[in-house]
Amino acid sequence: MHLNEIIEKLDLKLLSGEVPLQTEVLRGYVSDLMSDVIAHGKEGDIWITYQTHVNVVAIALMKNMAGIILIQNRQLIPAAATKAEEAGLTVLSSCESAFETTGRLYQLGIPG
Amino acid sequence: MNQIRISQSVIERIYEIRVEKIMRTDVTRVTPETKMSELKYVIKENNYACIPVLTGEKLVGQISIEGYVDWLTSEMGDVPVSEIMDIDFKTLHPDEPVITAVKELELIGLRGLPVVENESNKFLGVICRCTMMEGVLAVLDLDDEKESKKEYNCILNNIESVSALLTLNYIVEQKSLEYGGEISSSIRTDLYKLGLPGNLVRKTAIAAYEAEINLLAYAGGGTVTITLSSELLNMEIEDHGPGIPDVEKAMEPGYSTAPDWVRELGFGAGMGLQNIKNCSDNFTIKSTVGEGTVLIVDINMEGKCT
Amino acid sequence: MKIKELCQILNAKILSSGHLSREIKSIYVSDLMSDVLTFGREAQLLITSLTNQQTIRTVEMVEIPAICYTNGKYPEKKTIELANTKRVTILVTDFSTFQVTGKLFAAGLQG
Repeated sequence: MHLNEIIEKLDLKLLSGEVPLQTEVLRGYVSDLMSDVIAHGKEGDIWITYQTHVNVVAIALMKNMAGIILIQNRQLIPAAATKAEEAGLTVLSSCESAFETTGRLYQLGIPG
Repeated sequence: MNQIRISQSVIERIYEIRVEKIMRTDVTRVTPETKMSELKYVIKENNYACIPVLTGEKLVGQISIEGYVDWLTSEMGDVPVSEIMDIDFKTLHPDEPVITAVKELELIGLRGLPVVENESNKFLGVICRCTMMEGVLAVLDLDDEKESKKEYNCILNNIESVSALLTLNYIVEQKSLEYGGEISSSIRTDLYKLGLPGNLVRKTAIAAYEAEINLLAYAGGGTVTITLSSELLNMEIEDHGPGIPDVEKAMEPGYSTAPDWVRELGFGAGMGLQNIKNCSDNFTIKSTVGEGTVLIVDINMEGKCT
Repeated sequence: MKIKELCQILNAKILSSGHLSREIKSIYVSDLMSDVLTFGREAQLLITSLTNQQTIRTVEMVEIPAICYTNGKYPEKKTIELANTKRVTILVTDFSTFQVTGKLFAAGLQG
């Protein structure tokens, strides 16, 4: 599924990057632990997290992820936002909890 | 202010507790011949309450902390205790209700009173203000199952009536962060034992837990002191760690100086202080770089005994 | 939903029983203990891939009765012991946090 379709269906807010018309989301991943994402995150993942610091952006870029969804209306800290903007990483925010955001993605057929 | 209905059974039980049940017997005693200079450590051992002076088993006098301080500031030299001790003073009997002891202490403004056997004047122990409440609570706790826990809460109203506060002290020793939460867990258990309402205990436990993690992660340990009155739970968390250079910044949600190992334990997301504040009705933080940090958390007592 | 039923959906193993008959009213998903301390509520199931003792301490404070560890991660013995003392249910499943969450959402549970 394309990322822009997910943005539309989950009513997500675009925090950084261009509207990602071409980005394909392959899987979903939920974690707030950096070591965990470094170990298990994969290319094409959409990463759902509560974390907002610079390492989140760094890891998403390193893993070549499709994008990040911050839950509960969280915002990246300024240094992380700058880094995401520079690298063109799609960062989104959801007003819902990790449970609801993930649940909806799962119902759209995104595998984990 | 005091709109809470105190359960009759709790009041009755508090009145039923006798002095002998909660007196301290582990106090250090001296004789009339003991030199005043030797009292320095005894005062501390006896929790600054009073020092009983005995001839054989018989109580013949007492040295109060006030009497000791008077001697210190006088120029009497190292005289024997018999020259300084009070001879005419109030004593308690083992079968008197604790409430009488409370009133006596309040009335004469003393920290402790000796307990003697009714006729013989044989010394039995000491009631001291600082350990009295613990004693009362310990006695009530023996019958934990029988009573509805919430009723113990009403003890606080009795404490208020004698303007004595209940203080709980905890030490957070420097250990691996893995053990973080042990102290907060005891705090939580103790507060429930006191019959405080769940909502208040939860807020206190959460604030204590975040603070405990901070103490272990950044400050090399510290202390937690909880003072309960009928209106307020006051919790002071103190450390002698490195201090926080920019408190305002540290309070910002998401701001964190946590190293990765703290983050990997599920903390360090820059929410701790904010979370403590959210649990408080009044929150203050004082920090001096190189000296340490003091957090003061006040939580209002609400819905007591309901 | 009863913890037993959750186990079936998640193909989970019970490592510490706690109160198995407890009714789970909602789900919270997080690996951040401060987050759980802020938003966690009674009668929730916590889904996390963090398996240390702090997870047990945290749920104790907010009175969450059960935890599900994901990604096939097994907690240390000490964590299980602590959970037994505190009467916290521990479930472990091989599914990822994403999969566990999705399955429970699809089963009609609330956040």
